[in-house]
Amino acid sequence: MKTFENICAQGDILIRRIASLPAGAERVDPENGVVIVTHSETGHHHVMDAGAVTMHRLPNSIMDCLLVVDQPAELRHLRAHDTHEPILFAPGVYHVRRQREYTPEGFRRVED
Amino acid sequence: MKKNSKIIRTKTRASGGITDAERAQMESVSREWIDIAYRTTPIDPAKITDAIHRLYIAANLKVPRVVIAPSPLVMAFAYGASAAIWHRRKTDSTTDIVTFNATRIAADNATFNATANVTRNATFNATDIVTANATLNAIANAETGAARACYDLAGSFGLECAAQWMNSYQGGNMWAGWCSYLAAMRDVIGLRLPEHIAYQAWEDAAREGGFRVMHKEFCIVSDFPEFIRIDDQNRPHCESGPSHRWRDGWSLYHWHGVAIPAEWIEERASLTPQIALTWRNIEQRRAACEILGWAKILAALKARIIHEDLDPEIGTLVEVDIPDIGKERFLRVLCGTGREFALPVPPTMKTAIQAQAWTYGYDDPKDFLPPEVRT
Repeated sequence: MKTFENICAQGDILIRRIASLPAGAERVDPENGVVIVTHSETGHHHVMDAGAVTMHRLPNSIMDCLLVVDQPAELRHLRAHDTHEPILFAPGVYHVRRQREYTPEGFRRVED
Repeated sequence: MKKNSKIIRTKTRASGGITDAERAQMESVSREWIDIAYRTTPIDPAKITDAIHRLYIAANLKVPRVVIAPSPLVMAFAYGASAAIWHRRKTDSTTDIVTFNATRIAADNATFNATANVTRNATFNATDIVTANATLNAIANAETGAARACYDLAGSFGLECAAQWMNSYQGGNMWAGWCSYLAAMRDVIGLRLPEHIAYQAWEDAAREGGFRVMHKEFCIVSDFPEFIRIDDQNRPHCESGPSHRWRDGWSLYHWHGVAIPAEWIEERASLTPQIALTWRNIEQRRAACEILGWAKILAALKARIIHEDLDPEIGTLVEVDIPDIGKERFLRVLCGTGREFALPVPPTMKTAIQAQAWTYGYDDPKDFLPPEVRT
């Protein structure tokens, strides 16, 4: 399984290791035993095991989230075809950015 | 399998990896369930009814009426009409017990009548038109026919209930992947768990039926498609027609596993480079670009390469001239799965890496470092 030191990307998300959880970050509840790192309109979420990872989000943030990984855990893409290969995370704190695209009005989140 | 691993096999526990012999047997189980997932022979009413009855009994529910629909579309609308009728009957019963008693027998038959009528009407409408019109019209009329039948039976409340069909559906043979896994654990690994007794009804319902919607009073099961077309990776795909077609004419279209509008295949001229590049869903946008071909898109829109990075995962920044919109810039980029996507980026972008940095929220490209790993 692929691993990384500081920065990785899986599909439309970019993950970067950071020093610590920013102040004011609020915990996001897991669903059915997994942390949904990014939600897909078609159900092809990117998820991690809620037993190893907690997810947080800064107030009013819609394009990014924060992960606190307590023990090695893999980021998995829930799709049966054209699946993005899992990536193994070492314990640490990570900032997740979701990809956006331009519109004449500004930008929107990439939808898949 | 690691040589030092300790294989444990009991009826209630399995650990230590799998043996080569087990792996070979699992291949066989996998093939069997892939075949079930792609089943196109007609549903057997007696077998699916028996499986559904046992499934309800396993869940300590009373045996429901089982109705077979010719397609998932008709299933959804028949569900809406039936659920609405049942809801009204039961709501009425709380306010007018006399009426309830007087109409009890009629209510008992409501589901059968509703679902039978919906199914018959929709099937008739769909199949009648199938024989008369082209594919696109048939699909449209199958949908209209089913919706109209639902409305005639249960009004707008029926349509509202139909829209909620996903809240009570199960996949039948279309969820074969889970069944394959459980069958392998039972039949190859040798687990014998108490849950397997109740699971047998679920497994049989997956072998004998397609999608189903389950209600306390009734269960509507879709027949299997009459054909399914796939690519070399078993993904639904057809370049010249539907990937799935049910016997009432209702069809689905896929491009290498991605659901796409029927027009993109049936009326190729309707899919223009402008539509392809500006389509909102990125997976469908990619499919549209593949259907048309990048060369055609770039030529049609007078594309100009602004900057090309050496790394195809950083991509190529292009500018195109889209009719009625004007000049737009796109980042053509290779993703970790080896597929090519196009992302609209601001017209101020000058380099591919600047554009990619922007897509991840970095307004200053100096803040962006390319990922060490990309999947």
